[in-house]
Amino acid sequence: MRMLGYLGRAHRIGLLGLLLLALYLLVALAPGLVARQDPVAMGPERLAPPSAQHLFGTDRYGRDVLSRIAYGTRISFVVAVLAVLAAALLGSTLGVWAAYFGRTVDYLVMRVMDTVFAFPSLLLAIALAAVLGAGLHSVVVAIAIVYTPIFARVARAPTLSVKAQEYIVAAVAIGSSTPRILWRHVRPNILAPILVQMALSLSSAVIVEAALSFLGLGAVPPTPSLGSMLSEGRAFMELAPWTVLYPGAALAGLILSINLAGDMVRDILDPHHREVL
Amino acid sequence: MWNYLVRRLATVFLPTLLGISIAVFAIMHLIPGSFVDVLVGIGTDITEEQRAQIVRAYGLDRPLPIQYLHWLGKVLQGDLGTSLRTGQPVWHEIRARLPVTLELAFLALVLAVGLALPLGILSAIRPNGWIDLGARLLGLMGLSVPNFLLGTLAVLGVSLYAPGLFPTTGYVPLSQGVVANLRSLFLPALALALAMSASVMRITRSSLLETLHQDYIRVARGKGLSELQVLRGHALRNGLIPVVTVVGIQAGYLLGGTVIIEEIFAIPGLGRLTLNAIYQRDYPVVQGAVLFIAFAFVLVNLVTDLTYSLIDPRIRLEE
Repeated sequence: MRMLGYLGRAHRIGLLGLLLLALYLLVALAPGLVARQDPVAMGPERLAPPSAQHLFGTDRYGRDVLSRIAYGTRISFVVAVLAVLAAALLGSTLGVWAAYFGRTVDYLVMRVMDTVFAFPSLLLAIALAAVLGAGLHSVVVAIAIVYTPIFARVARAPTLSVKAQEYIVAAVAIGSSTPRILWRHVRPNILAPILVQMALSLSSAVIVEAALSFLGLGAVPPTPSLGSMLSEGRAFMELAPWTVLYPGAALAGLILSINLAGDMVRDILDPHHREVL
Repeated sequence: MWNYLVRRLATVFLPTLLGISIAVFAIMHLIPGSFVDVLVGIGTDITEEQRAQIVRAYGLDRPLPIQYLHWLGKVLQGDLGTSLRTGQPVWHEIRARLPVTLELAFLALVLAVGLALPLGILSAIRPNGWIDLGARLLGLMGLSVPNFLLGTLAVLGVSLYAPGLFPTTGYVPLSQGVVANLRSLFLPALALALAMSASVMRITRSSLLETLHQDYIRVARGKGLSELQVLRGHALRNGLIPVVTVVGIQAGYLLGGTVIIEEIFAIPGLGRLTLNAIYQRDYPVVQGAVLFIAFAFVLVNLVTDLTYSLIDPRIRLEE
């Protein structure tokens, strides 16, 4: 209870972020609640300013901006969550293996991870997305690869310290198999830092997806993505600022809410990180 | 110091460079569709014989490891190949655009650190004061507004409300006047700088705040030093160590960020070269530019490491 009281006081803004994130999640799960039009249906009213019919106006093909934002939010979520999940699974598995089996496995796995880590993340994502071809599945794979090394590092350190504990020696002595030891004894010990890293990586994944789609390397038109809406809107933005402002605000709000919620998750799961106030 | 440098070079720097070269080579050989199609243009009809000739001329019939070693050997001699579009050596293309990107990244670095350090220090000195609240709000914003959104908004804002205040597109070289040059780079540098300054500000604030709670700071205050003396003599030197790392890491990321910012502001730098090469499937240029940027990124990280060990001698002893 004292813990909850502490979080309530220190995290009024975190709770606000969580609320905002819940709203976004609702829109992502049921875009139809907000979107009253088909997001890819072109209409006769091009670049129409916000009105009762089109709350956020229309873009240059007469498509409803609000509907596109709603479906774009869903895409942001799906891509980011899938990519982070894949990176977390792959990265933490590699990290645990590296630490648990040590020696050559450790050296090889971590050198490969260092190599991936040695590229500026956006540049690597751009190169990978370009090579894998346009489309959101390439974006998921590209982001997953870029963020795998972080999870390998986050999983490796606690595995090393768990491995040295006496209960592992005991487990080996009573004949537990390696998979059983990894699952029963190692996994619970590294779960918290992995979850924290997932929360923190989620907002970067949203940003990278938007960036790739902005550059035309992600969502293929007419699929609505917040990033591609921004770049499409740029051509006429002096005439129709709403084609840029609303998707931009939606994107920034989404990232903000994930950041706030992520900070909160970190504070709950990793007390060392609590900022001195 | 020299021992440390040599050890870092041998255990981290060189293996990483080797890894990067393998990765870049591998990525470029995963391209869908064959290299020959890209070379002659898709849809162009060529005979099987011509195709075989091209394959032989480019050494594509040899095993991949051999191709890699051959390519690496040329790279080590400074030969990054020739552009498929312009016929120019890739290295010339890179060298011509490098100064623009370096200037942009440097300006962004100066803006970011110049904004972040004073703000971070001031908010750590008076936590929860109005400067602190403002700085933290700015920090949250900086981390939540991606640079390409900020750049787009900056272009929109200037062209709607203050046309002519700053050029929103294009680059004016230094030779045409320092002021015009700086004006053309101001908006892109600002867009690049905000996210970096948010990270640097946050780490400055939290690290200094933690340092100010240490016992030796209490001792320093107890023996009668003024706050300014405490800061200058004790807190800053210790509190700013993590800041160096973050500045270094972020400086590396600036290199990646320039790709998208140069595209928005139509600045003819390394990032735009890379992106255009990707759009035009000019793979030798993509390969060369990505290799070059990754190399620079690793170099920046190495310099960060060394700076770190200069400031904090304990790091050298640990290894």
